[in-house]
Amino acid sequence: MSKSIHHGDPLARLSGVRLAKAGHSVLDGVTLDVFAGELLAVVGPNGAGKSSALKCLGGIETDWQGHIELAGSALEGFASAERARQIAYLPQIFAPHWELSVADLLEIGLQRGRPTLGWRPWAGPRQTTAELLAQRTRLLDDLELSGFLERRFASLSGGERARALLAQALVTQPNLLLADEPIASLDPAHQLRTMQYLRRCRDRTASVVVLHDLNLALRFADRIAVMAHGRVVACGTTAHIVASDILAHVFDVRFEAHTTCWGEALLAS
Amino acid sequence: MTRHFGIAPAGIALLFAAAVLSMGIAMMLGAELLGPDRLLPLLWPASADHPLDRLLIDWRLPRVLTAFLVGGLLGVSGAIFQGIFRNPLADPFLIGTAPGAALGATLALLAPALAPFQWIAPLQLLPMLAFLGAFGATLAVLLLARLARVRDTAGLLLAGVAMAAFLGALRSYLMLALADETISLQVVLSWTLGGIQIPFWRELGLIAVVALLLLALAYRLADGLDMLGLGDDVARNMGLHVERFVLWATLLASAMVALAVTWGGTIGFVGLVVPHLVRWPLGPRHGPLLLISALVGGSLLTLLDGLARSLLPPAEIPLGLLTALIGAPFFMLLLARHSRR
Repeated sequence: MSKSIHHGDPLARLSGVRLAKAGHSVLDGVTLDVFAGELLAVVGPNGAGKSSALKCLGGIETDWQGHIELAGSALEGFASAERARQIAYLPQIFAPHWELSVADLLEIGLQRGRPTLGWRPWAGPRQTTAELLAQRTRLLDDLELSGFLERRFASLSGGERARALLAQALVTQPNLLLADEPIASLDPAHQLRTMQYLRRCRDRTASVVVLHDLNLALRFADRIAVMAHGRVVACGTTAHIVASDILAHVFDVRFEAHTTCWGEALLAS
Repeated sequence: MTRHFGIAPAGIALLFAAAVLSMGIAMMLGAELLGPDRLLPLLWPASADHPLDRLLIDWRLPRVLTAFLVGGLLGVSGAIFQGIFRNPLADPFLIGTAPGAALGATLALLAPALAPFQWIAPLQLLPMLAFLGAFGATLAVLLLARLARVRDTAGLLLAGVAMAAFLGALRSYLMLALADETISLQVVLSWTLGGIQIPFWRELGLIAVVALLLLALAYRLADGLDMLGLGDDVARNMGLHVERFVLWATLLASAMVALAVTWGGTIGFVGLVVPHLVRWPLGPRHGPLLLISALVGGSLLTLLDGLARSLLPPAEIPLGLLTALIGAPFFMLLLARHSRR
């Protein structure tokens, strides 16, 4: 934590990461760099290993082989609390088991990276309550959640839920957010707003976002990683990815490029 | 922040007052009902020369305090088990803990003269074997689940159900095999139905210290239980060692159930109902839930034990019967409320 991270510094690096589940290879040598200050979109057909790659980096899958670095050091060397402070993960499906309010979610989010059995109360910096409150207020304003604190999560609309979950993951200001299809169930307006928010806060928290909507990836991401068959088959700037025919190859469908007000858009044909 | 444990100080003070009040009321209840005028002089021990006073201090007071501790332990362990299994229907007796305790107690009652038990004072045999049975059963479930490579909590739950069935059958077999005309099965049965034992003051001090220690350790589980409620993946990403945490929480909660069962027999429904009762107004955060479940569980069981002593004088209603008679319909009410929402 002591080392400050600058824009463009390598934040996380996966090289040759393999993962097998029940004897079945899920990741077959994933190599991918994530830099500070970027929004990296991960696209690819179903079953390409996008979620699994995120889970390896987020400390959820632990049986992988290969090499993962976080801020220049091997991931295995990090205490789980330390790793948790740096990397937040937003699952594809999120359903709390209890009837939590938005305020509850945020307060639980504040426990991120704190030793949970209290054995080492001195481990890790603790922010003061005032700092946390100020930070929370800013986050709530940014995500338009100020009026929702006492609402139950289950009673929120899809868009409100997505924002509450983002707030939950970002409340401790991690360096990296791993979001697994965060906008899959949102209407177009909310999809845009969520992506805009992730892009806006990427200086503080870089994001790796799994997306199925190629055009949102092209529009909001700094770089795109294309995955297929448990590997990253291409990774580069959006322009680079559009110029190559890798997407047509991977998705096995032809794309037409159309110029729009924000840039090049792709239409499957 | 003016809130501690997530609730207002006035609320905590009120609950403590209610706990003391419940113990006061329970002191008045019994085969002979006493008014406050008989109890208040007891606060000055110099006046406690009357035989009835000695009776109250040496018999009724320890029983009331024990009932409070047993109720508190059951309430908190219920909240922990529900938190681990993320299932509001989880119960302290689910994963073989109570059948294990019952087996231990049955052994103590039916075969006190068995060679391995010779070195234990007869009076301490039952609590000791009950505790070993409860704790050993849970440990066995955890070990078996590990051997079978069961890693999720649902699998653990099922392993517990299997263990409970196995131990229950074993106990029935022992009852048939070991009972003879010198031992009344009635004793075993009444222990199984639940009832607060009366410890000596010295023992009570030990129980209280252990119980408070367990409760203090349990309170530290609150954050981890909150994280678990967000799902395994999120909890892991937040820095929780899920398997290690579940193991530790299960052992701690089982130690609490073991202590409770040792001094109260098998008392159902308290661990199931109390956390619900607390969650309803306070919400599901585990910090306040654990603390308040201890106070509410203690108060509730203290009052019920008072009723058990006074409803059918001079006989006592087994406490486990009473908690089931009241708890089951009450639980149905809670369920109906829950599903209407």
